[in-house]
Amino acid sequence: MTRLTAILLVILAVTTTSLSVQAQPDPSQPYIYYYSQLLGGLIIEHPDGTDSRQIAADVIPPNMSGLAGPGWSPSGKYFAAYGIPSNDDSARVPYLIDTKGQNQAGWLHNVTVTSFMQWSPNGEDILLIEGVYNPNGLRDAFFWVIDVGHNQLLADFGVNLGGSSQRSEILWNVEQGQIVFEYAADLGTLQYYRVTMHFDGTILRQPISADEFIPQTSNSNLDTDEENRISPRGTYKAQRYPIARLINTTTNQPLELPRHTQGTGCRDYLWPENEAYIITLDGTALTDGCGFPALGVTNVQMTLWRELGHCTGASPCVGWLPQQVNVNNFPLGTSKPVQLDPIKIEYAGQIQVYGIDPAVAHILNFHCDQNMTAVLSDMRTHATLYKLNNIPCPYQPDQLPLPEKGFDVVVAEDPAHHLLATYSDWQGYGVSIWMLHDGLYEPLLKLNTQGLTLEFTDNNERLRARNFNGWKIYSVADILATVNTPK
Amino acid sequence: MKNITRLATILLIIFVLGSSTSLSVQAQPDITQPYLYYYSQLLGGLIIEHPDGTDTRQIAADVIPPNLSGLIGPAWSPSGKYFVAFAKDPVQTGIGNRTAYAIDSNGQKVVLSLYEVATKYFFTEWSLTGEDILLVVGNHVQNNSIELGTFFWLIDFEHNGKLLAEFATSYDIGIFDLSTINWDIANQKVQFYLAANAYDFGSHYRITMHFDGTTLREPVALEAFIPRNFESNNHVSESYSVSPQGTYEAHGYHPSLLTDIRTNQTIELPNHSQGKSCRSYLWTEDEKYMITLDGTLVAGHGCGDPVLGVTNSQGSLWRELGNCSWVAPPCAGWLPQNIELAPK
Repeated sequence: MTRLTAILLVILAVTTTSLSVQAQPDPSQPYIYYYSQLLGGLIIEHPDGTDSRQIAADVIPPNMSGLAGPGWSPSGKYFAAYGIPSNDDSARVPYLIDTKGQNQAGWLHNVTVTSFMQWSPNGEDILLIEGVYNPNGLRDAFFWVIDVGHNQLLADFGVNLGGSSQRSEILWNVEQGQIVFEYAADLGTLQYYRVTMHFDGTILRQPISADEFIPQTSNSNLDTDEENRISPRGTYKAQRYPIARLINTTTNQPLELPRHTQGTGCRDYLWPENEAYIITLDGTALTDGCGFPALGVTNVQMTLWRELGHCTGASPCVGWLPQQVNVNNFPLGTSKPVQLDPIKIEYAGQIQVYGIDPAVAHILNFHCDQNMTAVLSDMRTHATLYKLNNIPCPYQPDQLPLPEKGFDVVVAEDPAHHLLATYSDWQGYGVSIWMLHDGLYEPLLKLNTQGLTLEFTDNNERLRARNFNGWKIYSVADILATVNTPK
Repeated sequence: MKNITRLATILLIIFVLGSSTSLSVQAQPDITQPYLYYYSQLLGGLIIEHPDGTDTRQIAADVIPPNLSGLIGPAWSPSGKYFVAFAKDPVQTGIGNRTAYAIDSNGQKVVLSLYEVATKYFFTEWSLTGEDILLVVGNHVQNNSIELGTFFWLIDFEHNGKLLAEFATSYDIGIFDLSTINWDIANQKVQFYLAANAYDFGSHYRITMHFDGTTLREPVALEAFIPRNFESNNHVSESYSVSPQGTYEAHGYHPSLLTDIRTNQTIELPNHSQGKSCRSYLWTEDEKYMITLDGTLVAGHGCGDPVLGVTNSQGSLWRELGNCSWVAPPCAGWLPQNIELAPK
């Protein structure tokens, strides 16, 4: 019995040790959520990167510009959004997940272009989606009303909107179990209709006069004329440009906020209710200065600064986790951030670089050799430089369009640890880290940084990656530690 | 003066010869013969002519391309002013999608919006009460990869293709059941029932499409729904047919025999030079002529898309017209009597 107790104690101790990598929630910190352009899915964690987890990486793909849509449901049990593609692809696929990241209403993947999503404003988890099945048939719009909690399609309605069209606001009347809206279809002449979608499946479309139709007005969240953002309780005023400063409205004392290494100007802020933290959204040179922003998070003491990646704007791309979302419903978090943070950021004063330096870049070509192995070769010497594993061959130009004349790739090698770091404009976001196994480089992880220049330094203990405004410095030990991290 | 007289005489002779010669190639309509029409896989468009090939003309060659495997659709409108058909196969190499073709009796395109209905033809029906109103079930999908979403359009051909009403369901076009269409022209509406076989499985709806554009979908009980029975031509493989008034019975293949039931006399009908097995017949009302559809050789089946021929009840006429599909009409048929052919 004593031996058994001892064994149980040992097991308990070992279990406790393994649990130690799981972070404990910190009640003093709120939770941030954001779409990971680097890894796909949503990341939910404390501002300092603790209690970090990723959900829905297999549902929401990486490398999109971002997300649009209503985000968290009224109950906090579901998240709804649609993807904003990063290229000319018109596809805007809707995503509907629960807090475990599980895909809901699987048939929604048939909707290829989503134009509108809205949760019931009355507190039910009832979702309206407007979209089309086929990007070529954009004139055909469908409206689906889904009771997400009961996984039930309540009503659906389709219409040929013609060349251009307009729609009114959606009038929700959950008590009577219906939504009502009007639309104008451009079928040579404008024709106006009122549509009533009852939750029992009854659909009524009635012709109306032009006078009865009030088109929806678009609301822009970003007021670019406004120079400052005021915190929820009015304690702070954050300047948006030209220098991002935080001013305590009581003391009038200004503090300079951290710069984003990829930001060029035009900053916006998202405050939590307690005013202790700030999510920053910085325009970048990649998006003409004030387009889709790079995300960061800081606190009002300026003791915290983390850069999180890029997205298309605020909610549902990034935000503070709403109170109705129960963190305990998520998978357990880990003590380290899902996206590996640099150990240091070195700013380069006012010196900015805006792209890959051709002097340090290799002009490489990508192809599949006769063994169906992906190969990076030098365009000038035609020498094979790197053979890559886990890259699909034969080459699919439709899926991965590459310039015929090759492309600039910034490369750094760490022979001591068999690591290769690459950065290019076509490979998606971030720096790719590869590890050599049996003559082939296998993808290891992606780092949330640009790599306009890449260097392994300090006896290959550090990787320095140049961004517009400075360097992000990563620990090679941290990178290697991810090799053993369960995926 | 003498020379002028001679010249005038020569010109007169040339004129008379020219007139009579050119007139002689224009056939006069033969009121004893009906007209048949068929899609010309060789030349495109429709060919309309007497069974013996006289008074022949081709229309819509610039609208309906050659080399389609066939046509499907509702064919001639109740008034005979319009012809609507769709390319039979969704996608044919070098031809493209299942395009809709809507023409008047001169072969001119009408109702251009219908040409945007690209694929996935499922069902079309002219008003059963005599108006040139067409119900089209289709969608706007431009390729064959994603075929979800089905539209019901009610199109008034008499009023320049005005869209009277539209209803759409997000079901795939092939995964729902449809009832018969109740054409209620007096009350300016059509009504039918729809049952989903997809994610809305088990739901049954009554659809009412009013001609003023109002549409109503109502959930109904299962008992209210009676699915439409899409008829198939099950006599094809038996090569058996009885003429409209019951005078003749066609039966068998190689040889195909025609028996006059009154006299019990049997004659042998011509065989198609490209036909292999299976035969179907389209009779004229007066039982004098038959369009034949003979199955062609298909490995393992022997009853592939047919070749067309035309004969008469004496078997004394035989012409081979080309290939088409078993869906006749609109691939081939006897021209309805109310169609006014333009003078040639």
